[in-house]
Amino acid sequence: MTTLTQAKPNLLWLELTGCSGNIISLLDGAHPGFIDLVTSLVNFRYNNSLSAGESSDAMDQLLATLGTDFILIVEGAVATKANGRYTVIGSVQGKPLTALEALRLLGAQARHIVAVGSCATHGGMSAAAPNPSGCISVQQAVGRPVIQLPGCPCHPDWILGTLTALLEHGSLELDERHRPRLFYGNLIHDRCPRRSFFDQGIFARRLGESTCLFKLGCRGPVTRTDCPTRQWNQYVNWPVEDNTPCIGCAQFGFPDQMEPFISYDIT
Amino acid sequence: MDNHNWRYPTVQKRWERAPWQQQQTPPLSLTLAELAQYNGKKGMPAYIAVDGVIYDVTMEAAWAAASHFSLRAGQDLSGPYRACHRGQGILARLKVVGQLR
Repeated sequence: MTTLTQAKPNLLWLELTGCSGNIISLLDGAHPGFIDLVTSLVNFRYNNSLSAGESSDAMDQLLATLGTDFILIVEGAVATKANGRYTVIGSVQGKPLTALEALRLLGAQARHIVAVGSCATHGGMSAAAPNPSGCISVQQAVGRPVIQLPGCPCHPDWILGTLTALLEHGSLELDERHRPRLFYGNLIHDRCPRRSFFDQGIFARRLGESTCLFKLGCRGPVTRTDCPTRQWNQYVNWPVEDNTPCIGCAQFGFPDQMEPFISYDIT
Repeated sequence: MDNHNWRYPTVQKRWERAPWQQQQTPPLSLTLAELAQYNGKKGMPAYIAVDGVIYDVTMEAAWAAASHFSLRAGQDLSGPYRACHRGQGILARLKVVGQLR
């Protein structure tokens, strides 16, 4: 892979209130992949799951990036109840550093903020009713425009493609909800290989059937991603072609507004 | 090519009979309680009401499982419609089946 023409910025990846599924998804990236990211694209300075440093060493590494040119990727929602004490990412000089504090501190200085995964973009699972920790999205917490990459998890190409575009061109085309059109420009329904079954009114009645999953509750018609053409697991498969309905994981409002995920009694 | 708004062309769907094949059924006149039976389940079609007009959403792609962003069929959805879709012309594309009384 060719090294980018501009100087490599620092990259910080914060994991807030979530499941760390997005950093795991990133490791499945292929073209480019994670090795390309850390060797050719950026100086990857901090991530809760991957950093070699522990405890105060890790916090020192994180805070040492302040004042430099860095891009901030955030996964997970932002817990706000009890002044953010529901999610503590480390301690600084013996005091707990909450996710809320860390995000506001770093978010104010970052060149770009990229919210990765549905918890970061709109609260997602972490903010699902009854939302016990008062989770909000990254954009709500930092109060400045954030590039939104919804998905549960986010596809590694959506992350690495966005990052590469930012590094090479400084920006990329976003839609009205700040999603890159490159990855979120089309409805799943419009590119679905089972679309002809929908148009002909031929519907699956049980999981495992190879026709349109609309009557089982498929959310492809309201969800914008390129899953049908890009596919997952290094371009091998995706839910609908494995006979399970899209649950709208990349749609704002997921999961509460995408329920029910499966229905068997629909006319 | 700027194709982010690309759509499949409108096609004749199997459940949409040609005009000369369509049976004219008298428009429904339903109370809210009667409308609730048309919830899209167990053989019932999925109807919603907006501003007193009842629409059929049984085969609407955005109404999979007779639900749409937490909203369920069989209800008067005038308020949510105005909040989300005012001015988008969506109702003109839906099949009218009657009126609330």
